[in-house]
Amino acid sequence: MSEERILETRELSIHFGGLKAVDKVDMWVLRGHVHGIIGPNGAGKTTLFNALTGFLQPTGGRIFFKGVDITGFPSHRAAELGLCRSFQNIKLFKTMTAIENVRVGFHYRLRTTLLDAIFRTRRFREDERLTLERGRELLETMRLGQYADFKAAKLPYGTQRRLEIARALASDPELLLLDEPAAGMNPAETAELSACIRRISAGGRTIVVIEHDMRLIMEICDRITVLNQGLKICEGDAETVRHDPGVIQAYLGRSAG
Amino acid sequence: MSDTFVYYAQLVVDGLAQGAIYALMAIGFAVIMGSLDLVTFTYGEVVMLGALAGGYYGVAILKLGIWLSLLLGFAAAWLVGMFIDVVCYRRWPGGPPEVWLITTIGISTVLKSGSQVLFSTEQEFVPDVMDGMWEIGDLRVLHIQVLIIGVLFFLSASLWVFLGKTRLGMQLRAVSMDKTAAALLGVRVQRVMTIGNAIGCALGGVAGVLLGAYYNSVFAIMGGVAGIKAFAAAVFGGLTSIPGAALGGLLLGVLENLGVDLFSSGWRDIIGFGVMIIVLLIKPSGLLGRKGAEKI
Repeated sequence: MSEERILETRELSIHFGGLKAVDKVDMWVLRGHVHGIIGPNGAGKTTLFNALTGFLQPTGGRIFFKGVDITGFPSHRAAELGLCRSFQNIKLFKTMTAIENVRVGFHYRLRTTLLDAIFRTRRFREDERLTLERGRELLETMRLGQYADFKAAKLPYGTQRRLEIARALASDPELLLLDEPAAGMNPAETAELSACIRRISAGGRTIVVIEHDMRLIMEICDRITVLNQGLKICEGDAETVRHDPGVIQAYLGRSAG
Repeated sequence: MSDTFVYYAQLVVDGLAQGAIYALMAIGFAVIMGSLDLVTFTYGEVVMLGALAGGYYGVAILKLGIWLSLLLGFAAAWLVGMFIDVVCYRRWPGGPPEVWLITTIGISTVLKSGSQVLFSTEQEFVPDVMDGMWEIGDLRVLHIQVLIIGVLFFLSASLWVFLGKTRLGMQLRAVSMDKTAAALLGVRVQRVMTIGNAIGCALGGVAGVLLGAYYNSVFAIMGGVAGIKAFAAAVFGGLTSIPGAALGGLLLGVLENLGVDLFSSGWRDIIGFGVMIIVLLIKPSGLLGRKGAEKI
């Protein structure tokens, strides 16, 4: 596995008035890894994601993506560079069908103009074929093939979450950020999600995942960063994190030893 | 055909032609609201300026013929839309929505009063662009009525294809449903909103030219009623649904015409707005609107 740091933060801080939601966090993600971010509620995980994807302006520190300083970039610029995310609260285009949702993710590659569409030129037919075929492939990757023509709002919860990931994949990101993808899922759905994440990872993409489901995290992550009250308290593989006294204290309130 | 039947069929035909103009205005309005997530109060003035450019300068002064005049109305209203975007929307990104609301009211007054000063306070005459008619039995269908309905169909079909198949159209639909998610997929939300607003305004401009040509007149304060009719038709159809706006406009036109027959022509606007109030009371989501996030 390469040692390239695809994503790196240096002393990243996000303060809301006196509240230090994220405080001088140094972390990095290696290319090809599945990287977990865990921590109790209010640890600053989602805030960190928001800063990484341009939804929040950091108070201090820098963010590097593929060596480029992307601190304060607007969301669409980050996306253009190959960074995409899913949300804790599902943000699908509700009245579009599953396949249409994914096709929006492809919008970069579309070349069709209004005249192409009216006269059904070759460019139009190529675009249609590309987005439909690749869209269906993506849906298959996420085990959503049978739902292609369902309206997003009509799908079961766990399925909507997978669809959100499929849509993010359509923009062909090098780094995918997943914010609590297993939230509200039953064990069967979580197992399916876990398999999906592994497949995406095997396809060569780097994934950062925030999750409360410890079993899922321990199962899929190569490295894990633990945050507590805005501070990074531990980083390492699953074994290291599991036995770190600081982590145990953060979760249980006092030392278990 | 009995006389009564022909009489009412005639009312419906005239109503459809008038309704087609309402429909076009309502579609433009729905596109703007879908893109911006906001009700705009300058729309009537955009329609008026389209009528001024295409109907008065295009048809009456420069004698460009109807097709070029429609194009002129489209282009003029597009530019006005860009102007409104710069003045009203882009200046306060992320501000409270009330700011946009108030600025659109202000700009509406500026455009209306400005037109009265620079153009005229009188009704200006627009000559007939086509004066032929077809007679089916005793039923008369004016060529211009067919033109109006044809333009409505052409533009709504183009819009449909644009939104469904092109990159920009897809981005516009995404922005109308969820700006955050769209931004994350790499859509330049601000730019797409600007274009969505301009397209909606341009459709309103075309409707303005048709309005001027159909009623043979344009005047600086015609935007007031036009804007409210567009709003009523859009509410009728579900506010941001495009097929709904089309249907709402056509129905509004027909209902108004039948109502005028029942009462008198003074009742025309009362009927239009009465329909809007009743729809809001009975089915606030409109004919084709759905609760929640249904947008263009």
